[in-house]
Amino acid sequence: MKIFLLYLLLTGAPARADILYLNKGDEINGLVTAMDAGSVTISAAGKETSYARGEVMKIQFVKEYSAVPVPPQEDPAIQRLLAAPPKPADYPNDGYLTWLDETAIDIRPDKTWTVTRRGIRSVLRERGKSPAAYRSYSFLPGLETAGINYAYSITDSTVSYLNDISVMEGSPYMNYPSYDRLRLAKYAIPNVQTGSTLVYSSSYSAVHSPEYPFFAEVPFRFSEPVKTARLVVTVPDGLELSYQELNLPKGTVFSKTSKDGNSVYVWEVSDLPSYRQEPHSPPFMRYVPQVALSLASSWEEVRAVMAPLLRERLVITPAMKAKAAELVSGKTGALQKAEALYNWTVKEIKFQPVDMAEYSYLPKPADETFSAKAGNALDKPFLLYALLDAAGLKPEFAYARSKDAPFTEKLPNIRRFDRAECLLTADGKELVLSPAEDTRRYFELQPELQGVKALRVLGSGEPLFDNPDHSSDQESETSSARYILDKDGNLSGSYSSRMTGSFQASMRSYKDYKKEDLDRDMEQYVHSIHPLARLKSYTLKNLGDLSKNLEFVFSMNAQGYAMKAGRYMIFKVPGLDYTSSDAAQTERELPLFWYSRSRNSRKLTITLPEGYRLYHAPKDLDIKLAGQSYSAGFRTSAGKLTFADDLKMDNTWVDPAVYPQYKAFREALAQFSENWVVLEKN
Amino acid sequence: MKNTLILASLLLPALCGAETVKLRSGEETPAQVLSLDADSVKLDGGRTIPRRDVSEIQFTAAQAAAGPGAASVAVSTEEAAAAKADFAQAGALAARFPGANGLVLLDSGSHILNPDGTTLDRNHQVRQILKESLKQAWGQVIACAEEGRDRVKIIKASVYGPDGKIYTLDPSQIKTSRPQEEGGDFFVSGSVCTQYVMPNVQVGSIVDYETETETYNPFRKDFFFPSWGFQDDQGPIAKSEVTVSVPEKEDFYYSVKNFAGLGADKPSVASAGGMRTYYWKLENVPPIVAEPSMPAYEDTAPFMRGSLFKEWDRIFDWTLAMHEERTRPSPELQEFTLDLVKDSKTEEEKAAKIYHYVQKKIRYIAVKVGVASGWGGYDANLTWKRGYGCCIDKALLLTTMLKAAGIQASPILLNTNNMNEIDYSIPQLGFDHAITVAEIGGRHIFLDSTGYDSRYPEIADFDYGVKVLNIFAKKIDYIPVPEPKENGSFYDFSMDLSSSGAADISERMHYTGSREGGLRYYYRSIKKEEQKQTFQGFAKSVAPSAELLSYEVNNAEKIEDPFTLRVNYRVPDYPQRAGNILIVKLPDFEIEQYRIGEISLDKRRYPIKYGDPMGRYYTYRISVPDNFEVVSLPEKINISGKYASFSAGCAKAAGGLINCSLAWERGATLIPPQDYAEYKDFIEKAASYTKNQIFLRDLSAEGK
Repeated sequence: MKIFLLYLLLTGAPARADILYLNKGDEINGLVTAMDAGSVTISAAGKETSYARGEVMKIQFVKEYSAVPVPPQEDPAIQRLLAAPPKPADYPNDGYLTWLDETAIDIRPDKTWTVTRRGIRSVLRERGKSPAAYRSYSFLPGLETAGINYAYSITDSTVSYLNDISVMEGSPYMNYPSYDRLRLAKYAIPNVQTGSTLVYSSSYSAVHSPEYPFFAEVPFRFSEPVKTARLVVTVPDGLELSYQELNLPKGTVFSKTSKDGNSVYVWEVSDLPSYRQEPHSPPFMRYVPQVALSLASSWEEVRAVMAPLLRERLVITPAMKAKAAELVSGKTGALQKAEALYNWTVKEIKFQPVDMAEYSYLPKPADETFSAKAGNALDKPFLLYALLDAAGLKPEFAYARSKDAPFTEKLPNIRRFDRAECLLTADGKELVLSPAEDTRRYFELQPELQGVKALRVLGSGEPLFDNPDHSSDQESETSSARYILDKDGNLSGSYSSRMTGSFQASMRSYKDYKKEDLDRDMEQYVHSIHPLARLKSYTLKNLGDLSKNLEFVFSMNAQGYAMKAGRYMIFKVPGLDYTSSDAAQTERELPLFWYSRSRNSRKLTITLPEGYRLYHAPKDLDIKLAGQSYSAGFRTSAGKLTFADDLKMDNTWVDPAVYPQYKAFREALAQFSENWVVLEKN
Repeated sequence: MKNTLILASLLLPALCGAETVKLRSGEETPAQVLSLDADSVKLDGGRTIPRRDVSEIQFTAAQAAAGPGAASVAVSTEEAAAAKADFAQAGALAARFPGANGLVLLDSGSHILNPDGTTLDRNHQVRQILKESLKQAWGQVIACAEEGRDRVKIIKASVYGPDGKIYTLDPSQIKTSRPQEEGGDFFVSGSVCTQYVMPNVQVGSIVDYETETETYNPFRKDFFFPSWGFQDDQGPIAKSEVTVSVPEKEDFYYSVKNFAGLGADKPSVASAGGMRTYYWKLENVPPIVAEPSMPAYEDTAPFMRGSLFKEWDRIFDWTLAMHEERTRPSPELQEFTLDLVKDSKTEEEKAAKIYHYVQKKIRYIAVKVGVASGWGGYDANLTWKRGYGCCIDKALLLTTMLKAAGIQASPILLNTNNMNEIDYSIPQLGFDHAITVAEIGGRHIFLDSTGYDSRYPEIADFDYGVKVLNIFAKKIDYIPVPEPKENGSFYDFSMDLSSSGAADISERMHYTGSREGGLRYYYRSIKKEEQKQTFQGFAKSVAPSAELLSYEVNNAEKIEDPFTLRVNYRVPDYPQRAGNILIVKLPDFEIEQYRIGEISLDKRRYPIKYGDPMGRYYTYRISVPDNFEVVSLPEKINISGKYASFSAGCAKAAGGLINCSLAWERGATLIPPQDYAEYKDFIEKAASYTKNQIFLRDLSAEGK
């Protein structure tokens, strides 16, 4: 081992390196040795050169992130790794191996906390070089401070430290100035080759506040393998830690010890393989092994803390009252009034796609959002709450946890939530209104909020409740079509569709298209049916009117749609093109997931050409597997062929053990789609 | 993997008078720096700061967030009248161009080159918002500038409400921010952006804003390259105009394109106060209606570019000086290179060795801090030692190593073919990529070492067919477009049908040109298990009941050798039975609609632009059992058009075999709109043909 240590060389930038930028564009790398009233002197490439101050644009003092607690040549963990590096053949799937992924959380008696991430990685393959060397972290100025402790690579026994040149900090939400708070810092460790070892550490510290209490979710497994993942949480006596383990594998080692007036919790997991991409996988946090952490509290307590803060922000100005009154004027019932207020909020307040975790868990004062005419997924619902309140509709306000992450009741904390909504009973109907993008009608709750847990902050009921779950009929498309097939195989006819839920919301996004662009897309859509398909006309009504459902109709023709072979003519049902591409693999590790139930039904009639009769049509299919069902069948009558099918997806979470059933289901649909309808000349 | 000539993105803000001292804590202090030594930085007023706490000293004057000129303005009677007139104009424009998302009433720019070489650009926009979706994009002003060189001011930002209310600029709401996005490939610092959200913007509102960007510290005072585009994609423009003013003593050259049918492309020219001003104006410009696979904005919209000089010599000389300096191999690099190629017998072998070395060993990452590193690249010796660099850094290293091996080479600057075509009639700096050209074995060969996946001497498809700057030769060069066969995909199928209708199908795939590198990249980028999933998907796309038997991915990590694929799968019930008729699909034979989206429109206004030529070649050998009789086969077809050809067909062969083939070639990369109808007809004929099936009769079902 000692012999090996001798070969570890420190290179890369010297301990101090500067860049002198001249007005004419030159960048001189060296050491600025002096500066006075007239000039700046830099030592570079073995000689000193002085430049008049008027020639100089900038001096950058480059910092090297080399403040390691233990030098690499003395760090036993590094030495062990270098002495016996992982073999790529042992990780045939992977670009790099995270040898150690350690998260250390120190909570202090005043409830402030510091999180330090430390990692060691080995690059196994070419494609692992860049992702292994890239790191980023974000923080909320005012609440958090963050920085890199150290980072370096060891390549061919050479140690290269990260320096300022490949560190960059800025704002990811510059295009949303009203929500431009989060700062994102990223860095790339230099001199990385296949076989390199990378070591890094960064920290952030946060101040405690009622609306930003301690909370952490620490995942242990990623898209590249992890040899050892460790979470260490230090909690001072007098504070109680609540935690929830989710999906932890067997063999996870947990310990809790007391030391120096602290409780120290340690979780350690070893040999975590990489994830592979699988179609319809749930959101990452829904399946990854993780520990969620919070300081002990209760949901009542969370509500008690947040409610007064929200009420402070419930500023309803005369202008807002007037607007609410104007909007509900002439509306006869609470439902109509709620719809009018929702429609105005969702359309007139620009949606700002900045998560509350990336800006604030407290809404902006409602009057501020009203004036700015812009709000995120917290502020738009809060403004709607204010307007509903101003209209006397007695709403409630809640935070909700979308389906993007798990929810457990065990950890009461406002930072569990990522969305907000208004609750209302109107004309006997229980409404959940969550205005965000302006494509959904008031009753079309976003799939990610259907059936999830929510916390009632302003309102009198139980704090925690379940959002309503939508049925497949509430997320559906129902179409009908009438076509005529002539003796030359040409097809013509019309198609119409009614949509609900996300189908309708998705189609409604065409409202943002200018007329010519919409025309173009419709033309392209019809052309996708057949190379010779041509759009004759279309209507897409009520695109911009959220008080009405869309009406979509088009007519088309397609020359040579059916092919002839001797006395036979063959064709497939237009638009029937189910595939089994999402069920191609023989087994899965992860569940199948969809955000909502759904339903697709269609009925189609084709008038057959004179002189032809139906020779063959696929047999009826009626299948129910893995919480999905499909029925389809052909009928003939009076020279007409009728096809009807109905696909219902009622199960939005299919466990891997049930995957073979899902696979069989999708393959049956795909096989049915492959079938030709064969006509024979009389 | 490109976009490394980051000059254009190094737009940033800056200063006035004293220096700005930036501390690592984030604090910024305007101060006069008196002196600096190894330990400290001394400021006027007696303050001394430890040097380790200082991150930067900016010498040019720092700008206030709002900048001078951003003063709160009361609504004047003139502005109220202007607002009224704007609404009237908007009404007329909307009637003329119905269905737009917004209306551009005024799109006005000016570019001024001052006698001292500084520049001033102004941008004045008057726009009416007609859809909610534009409230975000048109309802705020964001202008970025390069710290130490430029400063940005918002001169005006008014909102005229449809209700008659007017909201003027509130300077207290102007903010600045440094842009950032996730991603490990680009580290380009120095840009600061000024942001202002205009208040009370509603559908129907008219926004009227004006910004000014002053380049007070240009790195070259003769590099003045104004440009202007006169068309918008959201709505029509009532008036788009631009002025360019230069000192009388300066020449000014320009080019304009795509003005046909829209207005005069010749500017009016006027002189006053020692300045000469050029003025272009177009009125009632219809909006761009995007079409699939259309060329870039500058190649389709009316566009102007200008320069103080007409020849490229100054850009060549400036760049060449940097690149020559950065391509001198150190003795260490020279020795390394010679050792690398010591076993290579020919120049080709040497070049291939070096090409693959730079591709593999130099990780792609763009770390740029200014014009010298952004445009000039880093010294090749530094890039070699660092083991990372962007396209220009890698191009310089490749050039250096080739030279070290005795092969003449030069860095090349280009715009990739998915960007606008560089207009070489007017010099400019708007390039997005850099590669290398070398004289190897008597051939002029372009090599792009940016990526990892191209086997010598192949390059990425986005390099094909563009004119480039050959820096050392100081000439405009051209990267040729390969023939379809040289950029092709070759698929050889073998299918054994059993008497029960089961099929054993095997497929071999190999590729030429950029296709090989593209496929190699995909398979190298995914996990081994994901490769298997891909092949399972392959099989399922042919038949839902197909089961993968085996597959091979050859040389995904070994770029020196050809990349090939092989897959075998079994389908228990391959032909579809319709009575005693069997319908057999040729795997992957059909040209699916998603492959030909570019011909989905009845008519096109713009050309179709492809990145590369295409050749797809299929052969099928189908073994048919005795109990199946061939009823019909897809007839032979051989069609060719001006830009492409297609031939296919099947024939019975001895031994119960059916042999089929398909060849689809397109050598052209640009299909002009006047030839679109013919081209569309050609593709549709080919696509319709590929829906043909093989019909067999099951004799055993008939008791024969």
